[in-house]
Amino acid sequence: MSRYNPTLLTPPREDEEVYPYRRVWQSIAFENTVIMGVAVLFLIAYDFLGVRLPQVIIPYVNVLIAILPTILWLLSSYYRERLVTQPRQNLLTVFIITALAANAIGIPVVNDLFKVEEWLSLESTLNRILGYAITIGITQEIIKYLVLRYIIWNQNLRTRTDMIAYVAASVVGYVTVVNLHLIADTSLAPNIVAYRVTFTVALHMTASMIVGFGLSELHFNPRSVLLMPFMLILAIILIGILIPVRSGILNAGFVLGIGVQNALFGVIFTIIIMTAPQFVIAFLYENAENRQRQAGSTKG
Amino acid sequence: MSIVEINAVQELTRVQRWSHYITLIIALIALIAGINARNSAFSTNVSFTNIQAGLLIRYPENWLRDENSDEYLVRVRDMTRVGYKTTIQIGIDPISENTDAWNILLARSLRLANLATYRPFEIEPDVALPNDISGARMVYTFTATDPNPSLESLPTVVIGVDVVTIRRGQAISITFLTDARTYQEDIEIFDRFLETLEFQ
Repeated sequence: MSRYNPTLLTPPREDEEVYPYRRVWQSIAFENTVIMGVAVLFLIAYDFLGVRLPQVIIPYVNVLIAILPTILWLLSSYYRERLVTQPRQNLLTVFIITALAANAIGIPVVNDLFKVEEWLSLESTLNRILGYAITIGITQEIIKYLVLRYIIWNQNLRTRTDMIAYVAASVVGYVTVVNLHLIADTSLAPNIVAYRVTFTVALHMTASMIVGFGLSELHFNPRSVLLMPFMLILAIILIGILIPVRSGILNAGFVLGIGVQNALFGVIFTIIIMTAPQFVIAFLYENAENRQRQAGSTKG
Repeated sequence: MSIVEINAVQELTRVQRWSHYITLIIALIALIAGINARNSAFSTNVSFTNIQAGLLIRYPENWLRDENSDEYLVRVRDMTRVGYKTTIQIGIDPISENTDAWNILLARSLRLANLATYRPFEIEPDVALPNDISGARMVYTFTATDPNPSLESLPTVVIGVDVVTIRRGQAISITFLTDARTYQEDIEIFDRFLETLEFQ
């Protein structure tokens, strides 16, 4: 008696290769898109349509906006990390240690030691770029560098994208503390908080990805002692440039009467620095990965 | 899709070790440069001489100087401050032979009583000031409100320090006013101001 066997009729199924890690760029793209979306939403509602939220709920809305990067990271990155076959270790540790270091060292150093608001804003353009680089820039980036260096560097890196995931955790930890200080120290309208939060995320993400690339190359392809220091310098100079440029774009010109910030240009500028550098950095990571792969296949 | 995975190497290579050292050294240099830049910005002074009164003052750069008032000879203000602007002002009044710094301060205290919630804290009739100057000193508080009602700002508690000294038959009143919350930090500016004050 013959039996029906479907495998004789259909070609044998090819085993799909299961990607064992969480896809980091997808998570980052989703998180950044939502944060930018919130900023655009407030831009349309507050600045174009003139919508105003009731005064009683504004503090709660501000808190929600301030912790939005954390919520998104927990849902899109940390939770999804636990679902893959080979999750990255110490993501939460990096997040918490960076947040604690930012609160204990980063914010007091910037606000109480450097006091950049009191002297740097009146300097010339070049002095402001250098000034922000050697004050805010170096403080923020060296804290995140040290956290990554001593918690995950070497032992937790399996692929280059691991470094991106850890950098993102570190950035969200730092940004959360900065945002909470922003809403605790000032009483800002929710649209301003949304713009500031978006810019802070963009600034930290861009600069730290550059430092992360240096750390990543130092682990996977350690050929030059100068690459990592160069990446740190590049990151802090970028911070030094972006902060005054954003202020210049955002500030109202000299007008008779009450000047209004150029919120539209500010949001557009933030969106540009949140997206354009990420593509360049993604290209650098991909390029380095390809070169590594080619080198491996040549040796084989 | 292929994955390039390299097993973690625990032992640092020489390149890795030196790369970290150089990074830390650069960070340290940048932080020191940042502190130095801050100190330079805070200690950079601008000189101003009033020949008529025979005064040479040195006030922080970026402060706004004003001489167009009958209330004072010269006033400098830190306009970058949010809220109450830290102020140093100098006034000169001719006095009789029998008047001393203590009398001037008492008269001034009576005038200041018009300020909202004015309260004198301490009056020292004889204090030694820098540059071998002696005078009287008074510390007081009051509350100041922004004159622009549309800003809806809350009143600020202000601490004032008045120093009066007698020179060549004139009472020279040096007043320092600042937000009470930043008084401890700002009083250093006033101390530096007094240290560099010159009578010509």
